[in-house]
Formats: sequence, C-alpha cells, structure tokens
Amino acid sequence: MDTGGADYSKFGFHRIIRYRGIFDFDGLYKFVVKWIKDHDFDFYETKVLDKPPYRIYKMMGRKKISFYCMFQLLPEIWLWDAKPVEVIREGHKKILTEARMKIVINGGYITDYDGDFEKGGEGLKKIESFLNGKILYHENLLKYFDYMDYFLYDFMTDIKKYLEMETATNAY
Amino acid sequence: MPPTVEFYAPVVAEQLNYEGLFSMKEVFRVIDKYFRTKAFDKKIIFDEEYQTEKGKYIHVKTEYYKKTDSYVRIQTRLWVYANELVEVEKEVDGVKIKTNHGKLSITFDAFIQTQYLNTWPAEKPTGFLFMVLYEQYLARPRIAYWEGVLRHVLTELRTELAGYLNLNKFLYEK
Repeated sequence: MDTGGADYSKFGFHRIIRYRGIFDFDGLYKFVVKWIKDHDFDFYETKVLDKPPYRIYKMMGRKKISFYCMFQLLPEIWLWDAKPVEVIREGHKKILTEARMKIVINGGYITDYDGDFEKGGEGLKKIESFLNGKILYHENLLKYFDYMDYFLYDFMTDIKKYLEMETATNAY
Repeated sequence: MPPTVEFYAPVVAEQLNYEGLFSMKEVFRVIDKYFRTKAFDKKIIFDEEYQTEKGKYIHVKTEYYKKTDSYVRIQTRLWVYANELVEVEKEVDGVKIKTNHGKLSITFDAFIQTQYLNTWPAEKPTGFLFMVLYEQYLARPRIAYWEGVLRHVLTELRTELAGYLNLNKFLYEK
C-alpha cells in the first residue's frame, strides 16, 4: 500500500497557485474544507505550523472509490508575512489578510489501500504488480488517473475563482 | 538510468506581445479551448498572480501535450505574462462590460519527444544504433509530419489569439 507521503508530482498531480495581495483567509480556508467535504472526501487537518514569518496548513481528503482503490487529496496553504488589514467592503468594515501565499494541490490514487497484498509476502506482491500492470492497467489509467487529473483542475479553478484571480478558467 | 529520449524542436521561443484592452479570462479561455478541441492534455507548471502598485502581475506556465502513438509524444510550452493589469469598464453597444487593460506577452515553444517508452534500450550501444537508424531513415517522414503538425498547431493558436486581440485589422483593410 502506498502512503500519504508519496510524491505524485511525477504523474502530474501537482499544481501550484501563487498569490500576493489582500484576501479573506478564513473564508478561503472554510471554502477549501467545504469543497473537500462536499465532494464526499473524509477531511483531515494533518499539520498546522505557525512559525513566523510563515504559516503552513496541510490537509488531506480521502475517498474510497472501490474495495481496491482510494483517492487522496493533499492541499497545502503556505502564507508568508501574513498581517491583518481593515478593509471597508460594501459599507462594512472587514478584517482581511495581506500576505504572500502559495497553494499546493497534490493528489493521487492509492491501490490496495488496506494493504492486503503487502501482508502476504513476495508472492502476493508479484500478483499485485501483475494486477496493476496488466489486468487493471487501463482501468487505473482511464477510470482513476484521468478522472483525478481533471478533478484537480476543477479544484484549482474553484480556488482561483474564490480568490477572484484572472486565470480562473478551465476548458477541461 | 532514465530512458534516453530524442527531442526535435520545430518552434522555439516565438512571441506574441500586446498592450491595450483585453480580457485576461478570455485569453486563457481561448488557449484552453483551442487545445481541448485538438485533444491535448494539460499541465499547469505554475500559476502566479501578484497585486502590485501599478496593477496585477500574472505569470502562468502551462504545457499541453499529446501522445500520438507509443513512439512520438508532442508537447507545447506556453509562458503567459501580464503586467500592469487593471480592471476597466467599457461601454459596448450601450452595455457596460468589465474588461482589463495591461501588457500581455506570450512565449510559445513546441517540441517532439520520441521513444518515450524507451522502445530501443538506448543505454545499450546496439539499442542506440537501432534508434538512430530508425529515426534517421525509417521514421524520418513520420517525425517530420509531427513537426509540421506542431508548427501548424502553434501558428493556428497564434492566429486565434491575434483574432481575439484584433491584431490583424490592418492586414485586411481595403
């Protein structure tokens, strides 16, 4: 079984948004959590690090899609030099955040998430690689890989829309 | 050892520059939609947006690629820069619309990657020899064909963008 620390960037499941300006951080955080939960993922906040000048929020969403395969979303929000600013928006005083921000969106799919094949020694491991490499090869590639790839584009576009970024369009 | 792949680059660092009124969202939509209709896959390498004193600064690097078969993979790279981008309101046919004003610069690159599956094990001398013979003599027309396709794809994209930005209006004036 693969674990959460796996590097999916080589498969293309890796997106970065960089942003600098004034934004509603609490709203953004709630938006990300809601997006993950609304898409039927189990949400976990894996790490929060407040170490001036930066703050890091690491999250994880997990969703079992079959008895064998599971999707994993691993978004991270990095903030530098974050300071609260008072802004008057639509006649109301609001406290927003001014910062440099990096949002990393990682994701991937895990096969054999219960680790049944791992427990059984070398023979079962060979069967697992045969299953993944030959029998389920196209299922993995078409049903999970492509789906996940475009799913992450949706996630990225929705975050950009929330931040009112100019590049918030996606034809895929 | 990673597989040895060959690169052919039919388009290198071509540029499109523009300053004036345009909608940033529309520019990205034109690019995205064009590649989608051509069945390319997309990869965003990075995506930056900074608010500066003179307006927004945007820098996006994207790659659109397609595996044509098990031997040839074609890929484009785009760097989109926007500087001093501000939102403006314009009246078109009596309707007020929001659009942007700023400087836009797009750099295009395209290349072909052959034997991405390491068909000929190129780390071995015999494999390398077969690869060279195959690509120089047998697959030469096929690779040249895909080079032409890539050149065509990027020229067409530039034309689409030029059409959207109205860069060719003086070409067709009577």
